[in-house]
Amino acid sequence: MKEVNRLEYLSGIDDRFLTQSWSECSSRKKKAYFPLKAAAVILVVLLAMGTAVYAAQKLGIFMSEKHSGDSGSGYTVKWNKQQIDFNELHGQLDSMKETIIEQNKNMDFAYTDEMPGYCQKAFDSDKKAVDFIGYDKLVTADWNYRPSEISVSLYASVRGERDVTMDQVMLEHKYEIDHIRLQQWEEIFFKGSHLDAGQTGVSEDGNVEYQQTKLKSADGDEWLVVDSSSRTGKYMFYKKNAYLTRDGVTYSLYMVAQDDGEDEARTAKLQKRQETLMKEWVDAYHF
Amino acid sequence: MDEKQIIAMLWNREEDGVKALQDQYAAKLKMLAAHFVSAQDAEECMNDVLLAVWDSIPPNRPDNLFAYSARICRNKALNKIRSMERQKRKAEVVELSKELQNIIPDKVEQESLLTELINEFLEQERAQDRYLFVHRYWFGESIEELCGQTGYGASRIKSSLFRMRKRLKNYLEGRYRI
Repeated sequence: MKEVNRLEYLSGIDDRFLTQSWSECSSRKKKAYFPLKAAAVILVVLLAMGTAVYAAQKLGIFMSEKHSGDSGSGYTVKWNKQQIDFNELHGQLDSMKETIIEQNKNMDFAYTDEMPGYCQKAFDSDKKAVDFIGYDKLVTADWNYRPSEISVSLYASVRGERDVTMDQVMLEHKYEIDHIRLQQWEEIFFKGSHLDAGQTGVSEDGNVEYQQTKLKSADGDEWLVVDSSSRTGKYMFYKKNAYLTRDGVTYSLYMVAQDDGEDEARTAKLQKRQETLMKEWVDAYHF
Repeated sequence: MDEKQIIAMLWNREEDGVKALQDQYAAKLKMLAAHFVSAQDAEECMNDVLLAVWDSIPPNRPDNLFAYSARICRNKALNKIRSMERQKRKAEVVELSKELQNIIPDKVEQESLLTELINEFLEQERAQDRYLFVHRYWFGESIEELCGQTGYGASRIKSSLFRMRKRLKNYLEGRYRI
């Protein structure tokens, strides 16, 4: 009965989540590499269309497409894929690699909370997490807010006993500030990785408008920011995503706030806070 | 035939509406049920769904006929599991439930609140992760089926689901007090 109960409690999942197709959800493609020539063509086209200045960032990060309509909405963000040699890192990721190998040997795949090819470690400080990864060019937000969670996740593909390909390391921070939920990801993809690099995106049900802007940090770094809002039940969800790549690291910032819309002044204040918070966030990165 | 036309036929009590529903969705509904019960029971569930839809439209007039039918189908399949002896339940159902252990409680006082929170959580998640979660735990699809649909490897899907379960757990602990 317990088994059925747990599955039954998911019965009320919203209709639109049940009918969204994978093609609507996914903007990731297997090959994300953009040859220089193709990128130059895209830059010219984007410039000719008078779109935002991402194209002018040479091969920086840019929104390659977006669409909005009743059948679904979404956008794709692309950048010049960079993959780092795992040997460039001088932290302690090898210990996680060994953990993955051991997990793979001993795992009961049917009933376990552990995942093959995956290991996560929590940290109580930024410095410890960054030192653990050991990539000199990795930068995190240096600001006064304390994250509720800091974790390093290592993804690897394992074949046989010890044949391991390191795919990706991700440093994640979570915050809740003024009723706004924030997630911060710094991702490094390794050479030979089986995972996608060079592209990400969003796809949603319904007609969601995306506004893209540039946001220049105090240090002069330009982030691509994408704003959107959507409704679930009685709440509106206001989302902001910011993206930047630098020295082989992909930086993704995500914030979401919900509001019932019953007080216009409160909603306006919340949205203003999101704006100022995003500026604080990008300003906190010093490359 | 699009859904609106089928709903209109059912609303007007035209029996061709049931035939149209069957032509359009029988295979998908049967596959959904078959994730939870045997093939024979899945066939029975699917037939029950056609009857239930015919009996309930009107007065109901769903916005999304597939979601409406699928929900009835899933509930019927889960009810069938309840009536089975434990050892006759599909191993896949037990596995699904185990994955949700410590995240969704066995017994819930405020079911509507839990549903609201789960939908809020899903709204905030990335669409790809949300798809994997819904198709794994609502539709009961196997990892292999999800690999076929998404083009992702099994390892990647499992790790996405693992992370999402953790995030859901944190979200519910903060608001629902499991």
